[in-house]
This record gives sequence, C-alpha cells and structure tokens, in this order.
Amino acid sequence: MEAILRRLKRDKRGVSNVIVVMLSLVLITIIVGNVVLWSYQMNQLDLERIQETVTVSNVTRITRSPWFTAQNEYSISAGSKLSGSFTDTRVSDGSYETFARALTTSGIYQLDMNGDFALDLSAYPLNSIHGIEIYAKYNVSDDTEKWFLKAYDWTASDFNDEGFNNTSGNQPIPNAWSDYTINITEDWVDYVSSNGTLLLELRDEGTSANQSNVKIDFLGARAIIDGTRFDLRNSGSFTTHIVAIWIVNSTDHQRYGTNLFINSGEDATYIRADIRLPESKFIAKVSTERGNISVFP
Amino acid sequence: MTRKLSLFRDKRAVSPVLSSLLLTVVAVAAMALATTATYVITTNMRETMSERVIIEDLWFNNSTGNISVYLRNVGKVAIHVSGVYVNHTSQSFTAPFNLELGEHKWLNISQSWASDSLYYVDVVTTRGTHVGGYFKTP
Repeated sequence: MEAILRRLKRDKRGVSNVIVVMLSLVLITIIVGNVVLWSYQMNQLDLERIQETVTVSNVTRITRSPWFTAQNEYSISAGSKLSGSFTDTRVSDGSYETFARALTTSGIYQLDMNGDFALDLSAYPLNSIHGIEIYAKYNVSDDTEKWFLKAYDWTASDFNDEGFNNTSGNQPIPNAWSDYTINITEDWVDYVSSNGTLLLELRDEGTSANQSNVKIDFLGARAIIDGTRFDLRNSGSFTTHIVAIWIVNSTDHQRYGTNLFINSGEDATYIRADIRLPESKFIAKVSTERGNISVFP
Repeated sequence: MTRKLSLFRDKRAVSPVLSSLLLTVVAVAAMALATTATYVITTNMRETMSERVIIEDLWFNNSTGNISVYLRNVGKVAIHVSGVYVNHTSQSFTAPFNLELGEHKWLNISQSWASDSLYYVDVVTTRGTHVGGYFKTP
C-alpha cells in the first residue's frame, strides 16, 4: 500500500487531464441541472394549466345590489328602545327590535330614530349607481298616523325626502307587518357620503296621542344598478385567479379586468355594477391567470 | 534587513512560480470563458422554453374590416411577435408588437375577411413559438 502511495506521489502524469475532465464534468452538470430545472418549472406550469377547470354556470343582468343594513345600534331622538338589537333588523326573518313611542311636551307620542348604513363603494362605485332603494318592514299597534322614511342630506346637513318617489308616508295596518319601500332616483348622490355612508331616519307623523310600540323586522338600503352577475365554479384542484371577463356580441368585444380568486372546488358569485349586458345575443368569457378560458353559454 | 536582501538576490525557483501563476491565470480565464458561453447558450434555451402566449379573443371587426387578436403573455419572458399568418399567408400587422410579462393587448392584422368563412390565424414569436387556431367569421 505504501509503495502504491509513494508511486502516485512521484508520478504526476495525467493529473492535468483529470482536472480538465473534472472541470468539464462540473460545467456539464450545471448545464444539465439548469435545463432540467427549467423544464420542470415549465412542465409544472403547463400541468397546473391543464388541471385548472373553471366554468361559467350563469350570467345574468342584475338591477339591485344586496341589502346594506345597520352598522350600529340606532340613535333615538324621541322614544326609547324596549327589546332586541339592531342586528335583528338586518334580516327579514321574524326576529325584530322593539321601540316605544315617548310622550312629548305637546302631549303626543312620538318615535324618531335613525341609523347608519354603509354602501360598499368598492363593489358598487358611485358612477355605476343609478339610485337608492330603502325598505322597512315594521309593525305598529296604532294606525292613527303615517310613518315616514327620510335620509340624511350631506349637502343640506339635515334629514329630508327630496327626490323620493313617495313623500306622503306609509299608512300601517295595525298589528300586522307593513312593507314600506322608497326609491330615490333623483339627487340620490346628496344622500351618500364620500365613503358610502347613508343615514336613514324612521319617524311617525307626530299627531297621535295614543301610546304604541313599534317592531322593526327589517330596515335596509340597496343600490339601484344596471350590472351583471356571474356564477362561477372552480372544479379543478388548484385555486384559480380570474384576471379578465369578456362580453362579446356582434358589434363589440369588451374586456373587463378582474382580480377574483376561487378556491378549489368552490362556487363564486361575482357581481360587477359597471358591466352592462347587451340587449342582443352575447357570449361571456372568463380568462384565468394561467391562460385558460371558459365560455358562457 | 539582510534576510530581505538575500531573498531579492536569490533567483532560484522563479520559473516554476511564474509558470504556476501563468497556468492559474490561463485556467481561470478558460473557465470564465466556458461559463459565459454556457450562460449565453442556456439563456436562449431557457427563454424559448419559458415562452407562453394565449389568444384571449379574436375579433373579425365589421367596423374596420380587419382582424384583431387579443394576446396575453402568460409565460416567464417578454414576447416579440415576428410574424402573423392568415391561412398560412404572411400578413402585415401593427409592428413592433411586444408583450412584457403578464401584458395583454390587441394585435391588429390588416387583412380583409369574408362572412361565414373559416380562417386559420397563426401568430409567431421571434423565438419560434406558435399560437393560433381556426376561427369562423360571423
């Protein structure tokens, strides 16, 4: 063994060849490694694209946003709260908040309450809103006077009903649920603050000398729009990112940028207040970040 | 001091040191050259492998009488369109047409079309990637 080692130490022939071969091997390994790595990355990208399955199940025109309901407990200028909470007025489901009318100095019973409602301006920008609809579902035991809905005018700094389609109030049916709907299609912008806040007031006429309670099952506001609702489904195994929606008809091919993520196996409803569907026959397409396109119908 | 002077006077073994130094420089230079060449060659290969482009929409535009193709770069490198073929015939388009990563825009082809016909549209990039297909006119 010692003899072999001694001979190797003495004999230097071929060392340079060995070094050159080893350096070349390092270079070749780096090149091959890189190529394999890039190939793997792009194959993975293509594989994910192949496995991505997004379908557009329905595209419909919508004229109303969802309801925007009270954010906080109502402020009461006249009267008092008896039971329940503002959360009971968010859904028309039979659970309600009860208020009592209070006796004023003039000998009449009165209720005057207001709450703040926030329109989602990120989903429904002001320039795509055509008006505001307000709806109250309430129940009173006394039908001797009418009830009024008003909204806070941010320009005039007061509650008023200018531009309302009905300013004559709502006549309730005693001990029954009454539906009171108001549309504001003129000067509605005055009633919405820059951050989307809408202050709504519900009050009686202020003429009754009878004490009574008021139950409110629902009070809310929604935007009147001319938009589009897309029902989408991701039946693939990866989260998908929808980056564009196309509305195509015989006269126009319009692309709308989107930023919508749908988890694997989930359904999603996407509402766009700024997309107006054409009256004529159309097709809708959604395009994903990976490059897949789904067409409806 | 005397030792330093003796080092300068002693010229033995200078040639082996110089030859070793020169060999090292030559070896480093050769490796640098090889590495650069490798980088240049593989970069081109990587870019070609990473190129992906899709046609989001194709519009046989009645108002202009031309064909517009909406392209989106879904790959990992910028794209330069070098040619557009309609029914395997080269057509003029709004050149230069480049798409950065994730960029998307219309590519207008100056080609008239007839109603109720089938056209094969093929867009080719400078690296040789093809994207296209058959499209029926309205």
